[in-house]
Amino acid sequence: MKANALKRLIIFIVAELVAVAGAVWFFDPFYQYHEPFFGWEAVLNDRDNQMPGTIRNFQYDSVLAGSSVAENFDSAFLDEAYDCRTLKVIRASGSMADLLYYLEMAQEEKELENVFWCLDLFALNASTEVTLYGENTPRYLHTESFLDDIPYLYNKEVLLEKIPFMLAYGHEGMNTGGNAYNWARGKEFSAARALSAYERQGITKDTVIMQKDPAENRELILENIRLLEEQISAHPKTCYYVLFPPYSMLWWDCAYVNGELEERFYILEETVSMLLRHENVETYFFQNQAFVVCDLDNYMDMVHYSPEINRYMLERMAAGEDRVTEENWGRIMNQMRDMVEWIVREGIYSYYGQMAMKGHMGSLNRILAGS
Amino acid sequence: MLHDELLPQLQKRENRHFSAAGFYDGFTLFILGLAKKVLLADSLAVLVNAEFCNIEALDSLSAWVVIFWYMMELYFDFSGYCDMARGIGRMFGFRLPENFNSPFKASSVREFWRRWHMTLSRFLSQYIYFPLGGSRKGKARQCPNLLAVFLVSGIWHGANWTFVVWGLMHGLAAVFETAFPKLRFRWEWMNRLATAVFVTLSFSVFRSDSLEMAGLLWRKLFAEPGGAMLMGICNTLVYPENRVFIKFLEMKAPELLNGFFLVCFALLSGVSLLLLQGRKAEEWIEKRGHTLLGAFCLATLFVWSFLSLSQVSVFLYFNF
Repeated sequence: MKANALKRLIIFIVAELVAVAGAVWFFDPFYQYHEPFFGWEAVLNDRDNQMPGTIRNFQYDSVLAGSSVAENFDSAFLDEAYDCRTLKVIRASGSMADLLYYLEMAQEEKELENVFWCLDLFALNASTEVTLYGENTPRYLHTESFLDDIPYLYNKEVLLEKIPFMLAYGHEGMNTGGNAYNWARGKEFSAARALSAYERQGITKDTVIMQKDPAENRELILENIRLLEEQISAHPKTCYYVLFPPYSMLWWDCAYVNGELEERFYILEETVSMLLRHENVETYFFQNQAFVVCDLDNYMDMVHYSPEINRYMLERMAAGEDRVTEENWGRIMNQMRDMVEWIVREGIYSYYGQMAMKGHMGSLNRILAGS
Repeated sequence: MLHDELLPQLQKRENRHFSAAGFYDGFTLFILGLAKKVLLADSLAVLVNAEFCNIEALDSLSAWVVIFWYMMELYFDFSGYCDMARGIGRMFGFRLPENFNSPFKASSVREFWRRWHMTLSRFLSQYIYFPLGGSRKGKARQCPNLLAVFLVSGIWHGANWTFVVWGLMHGLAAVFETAFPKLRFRWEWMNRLATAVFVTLSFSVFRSDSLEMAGLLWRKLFAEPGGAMLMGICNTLVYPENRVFIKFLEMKAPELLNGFFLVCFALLSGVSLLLLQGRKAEEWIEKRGHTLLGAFCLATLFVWSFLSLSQVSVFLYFNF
């Protein structure tokens, strides 16, 4: 009798295990095995878990790479403007090494036509080590083998959270199509919100802050730039559209307060000089757009801007505006330095109550017009 | 486990052959132990771990909830993996000794120790209490012997004053019960309740990182009346099983969210209390484990526990 009971128990267990694995394989919320069935729209709301699977299994010929500031780009706009099919490839930190890891993974699958790269300055002095294999990152995401997928196929969070959320998001049309990984919903973009995310530590106009020598991090910066150049040179048929996104005046002020201003200018100069040497690269520069950078109502913190700014950048790029060339780069850089100088000497104080913004925007406009 | 319990089992010829009955009983006991640990103890641990890091914010009611939940967590955790070990033993033909026998049915501290971590109690009795003379030389010698056993038990659990104090508390309670055996409540349920409260209070010291922390917790228990924080601690009860509902309520009916957390709290408390007072695992297996519904329930518990293993916490008693 107990032998029968044992058989019955084993049959129930096997049936339930098969049912669970089947459900996870069918819905596949991390897209480890396939694109969604029956033409259902892919829901992309879980960046780190979904990235390797989408790179391996989705149909695309272009990628949009970047950090969280690139997540609110509408990739459908790029598809239309450049007649391509774009996949977002995002790493929160914007780390060069991590994004290159993803890009190489994509290029193993197919030769890309376009890479739209929202390039972050802060990623260019970060570690050049790939950080995707952290303690909390499941290994199975990065392998194609079925054998290490047990923690994915048999995972309570996947079954009871990821799949229901995926279905609900799909039903509501959230994070689908060009809005993959878009996080702007429910977020507040305002000067008050941005300022609440920045602590200026009692610096006044009279405080003298020594700026560090960029040479301190030179090797790391040049290594990051070398990695980027290696990628560009290895794929001459791929067109790289590199965008420099506009961080807020708070970010520039923070760099000044921390004595890192010269290092950031150095990163800019070295990177853009390298990019200009390559024929398959188009560089678009938005960091000097004072009406964006100096209006904190566009931001929710030092770097994260509203989706309208993402849209603005894509429209300008598609129209060929704000493109950097050998000829205009020197002028743009001077303009950039003038704007940052104005920010740290005058502009920032308008938000700290020492002078009115309006009158001083006039002096900024004069600076920009002069350069 | 003592050698005279294990060796005869190793020598027995019939234990060397596969037995479907033994395997079934062992496997089902293993499943129930796994479920106790992974589904129940780890669920209780979510609130307990969060609040033991946040004692300063607790009030009296919430502090009582936290220590009772810790007591239940410890029991399900420890007895869960004892059942797993015994289950594996049974699958391979060995019978390992029982370590828990419904300890919350005990009506005195001394009875509690005959039901809780029975193997340790037996070990300490055999190697400390009896050699010291046990109860053979009158109460005047028995009381210090008892105190010594519990003190050793405290130190055995770790090099921290909290364990020493915990051991002393149990030792003093055992001495009190020995010295005044008639000083008891008339109703048995009152004795059981008093024992459970005492044991829970003492284990709150056991769980604390330091005596200062235990002192703070006791101040919260007795000197800061109030219950407003109960809702706050219930809000920590977020699991993969209920996260979809939480998200739904957050978006569609946020005013119902607190009520939902209270339901989760009541559900977990209710299930835990029922299991504490209910039948032992083996009795349940004997009565229901062989039916079709029983097999389905056991299979579902096994699969559910297996799915939870990706986020399982460490066994609490591994430190000891």
